[in-house]
Amino acid sequence: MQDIFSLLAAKVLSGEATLEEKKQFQQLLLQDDENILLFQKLKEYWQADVSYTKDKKFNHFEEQLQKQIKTVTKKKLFVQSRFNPIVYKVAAIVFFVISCSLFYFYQTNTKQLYTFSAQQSVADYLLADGTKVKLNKNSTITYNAGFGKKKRIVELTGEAFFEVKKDPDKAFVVRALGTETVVLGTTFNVKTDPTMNTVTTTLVEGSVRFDTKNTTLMLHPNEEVVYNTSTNAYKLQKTDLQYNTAWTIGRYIYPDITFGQLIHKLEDIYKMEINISDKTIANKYISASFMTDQTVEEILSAFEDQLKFRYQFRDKNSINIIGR
Amino acid sequence: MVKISDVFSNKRSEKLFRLLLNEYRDRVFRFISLYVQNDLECEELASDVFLALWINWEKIADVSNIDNYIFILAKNKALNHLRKNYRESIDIDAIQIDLFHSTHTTPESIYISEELINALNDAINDLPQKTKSAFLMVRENKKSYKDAAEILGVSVGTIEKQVAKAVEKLKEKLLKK
Repeated sequence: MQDIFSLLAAKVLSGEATLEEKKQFQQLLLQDDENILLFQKLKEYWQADVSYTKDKKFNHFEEQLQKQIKTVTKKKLFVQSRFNPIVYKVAAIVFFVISCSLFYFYQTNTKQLYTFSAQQSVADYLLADGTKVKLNKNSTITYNAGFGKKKRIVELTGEAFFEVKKDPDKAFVVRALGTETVVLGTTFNVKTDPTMNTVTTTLVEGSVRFDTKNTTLMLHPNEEVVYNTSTNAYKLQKTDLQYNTAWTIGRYIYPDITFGQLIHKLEDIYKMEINISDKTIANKYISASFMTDQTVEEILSAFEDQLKFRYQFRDKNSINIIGR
Repeated sequence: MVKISDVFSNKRSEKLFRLLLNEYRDRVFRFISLYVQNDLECEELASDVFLALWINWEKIADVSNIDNYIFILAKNKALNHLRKNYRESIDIDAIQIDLFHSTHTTPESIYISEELINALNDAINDLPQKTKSAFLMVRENKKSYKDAAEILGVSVGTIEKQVAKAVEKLKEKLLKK
C-alpha cells in the first residue's frame, strides 16, 4: 500500500484528483515545508519533456514501412490513391495602400475578391461564417465568393490572430507563402515574414494541421511551427504564447514567474543581453504585466525597489543587474 | 490529447497517414520498447502497427478513440511477438529494459539538476514492467487513468496503485539526495 502522499501526488500530477483529494493534498503540503519542495521537484520531473536524442533515426522503420505498403498495394487490396503534392495557384490579388482600415470589393475576371486590410493600426474583422480575425499592422486577408461553400479559404500576408467558428464540415484554411494552416474550430496565430522567408503558426486552443508541399504536421495547444519557405526546413516546438500573441491585446502578462525567467523573456523581446548573477534575486517569484510598447528600462525600474537591485547599461544592447 | 478524428475522413489519404505517422511514431516505438528489448525488432513492430492502420483505414474512421486504438494495436503486436519468440510463458515483470535510452529528459531545471534527472530515470527503470507501462501511459502519453486502464487491459484501481508506486519511488530518490 503506497503512502497517502504518493497516492495523492500521483493523482494531482495526472489530473485525476477530485476536489476533495486536492484539498486533502493541500493540507499535507501545508503540514511541512519539505513537502512543498518535494512536490515542486516531483512536478518538474513529471512535466519534463522526454524526447529522442538527435541520433535516434528511424531509418529501418521508414524503409520497412514503404516496402510493406508497396507489397500490399501490389496485391490490390485497395484502389491506389495518387500521391499528389499540394499544388498552389496564386490568386491574382491587387493591394491598395490605404491609411486606414477598410473593407472593399474588387472584381477580376469572373472571380470576386474580398479583402480586409489593416495598415496603421491593429483591426478586428468578422468573416461571413462568424470567424473573428484580428489583423496586425500592415497585414491583409483575402477570400473569394466561394468562401464557405465547401471550404473556407483565406490568403494572408502579414500577421493575423484567428478565432475560428467551429464547422466540422467546412475546413478553415489560411494560405500564406505557399503553406496551408488547416483548422476546424480553434484559436491560433499565423505570422508571415517575407524578408526572412518564414511562416510561423502558433496554436492557442483546439487543433490545427499545418501543410506544405513537403510535409504535414499536427499542432497541439502551446506549440508553434516556424517554417522556412526557401529551405523547407521547419521547427516544431513548445512556445511562450504571450510572446507570440501579446500584440493582440498590446500587453504581455506573466502572472507567476521567477525574475530570472522574466529576464530571459525580456532578452527575446528586446533583443538584448541582460546579465544577472545574483541567484537569490533571479529565483524570486514575481507577477509582471507590461505594454508591448514599453521600454526595457521602464520594466526593470518597476522591479528595482521590490527586488533590491540596480541596473546599468554596459553598452547599447547589454545590461547588467546588480544586487544592492 | 490529439483529436485526430476532427480532421479525419473515410478516404484513405497519404497526407493524413503521414500525419498519423509523424504524430505517433515516437510514442508507438517507446511503448513497444517497454515489451521488446531489441531496437530493430521494435522498429519492425512499429512499422507493422502503421501498416495495419493503412490497411484497415475504414475501420479507424469509425473508432471513437483513435489514440487508444493505436496503443492497443501496438501492445497486441508486441505481445504476439513475445509469444512467438519465447516458447516458455513470458514473465513480463522479468523484462529489464532501459526506458530512457536514446532519450533526453528536459525539465525546467529550477528545482532539479540534470544529474538528478538520471537518478530519477534510473529509479523508474527499476520498477516492474507493469508499473513502468502505467507510468509511461499516464505521464508521457498524458492518458487518463481510464484510458490507460483500457489500453493496458487492467482496472482503473490498478493504474492508480501503479502510478502511486512510481511516485513513491521517485519520492524515495528525491528524499535521499
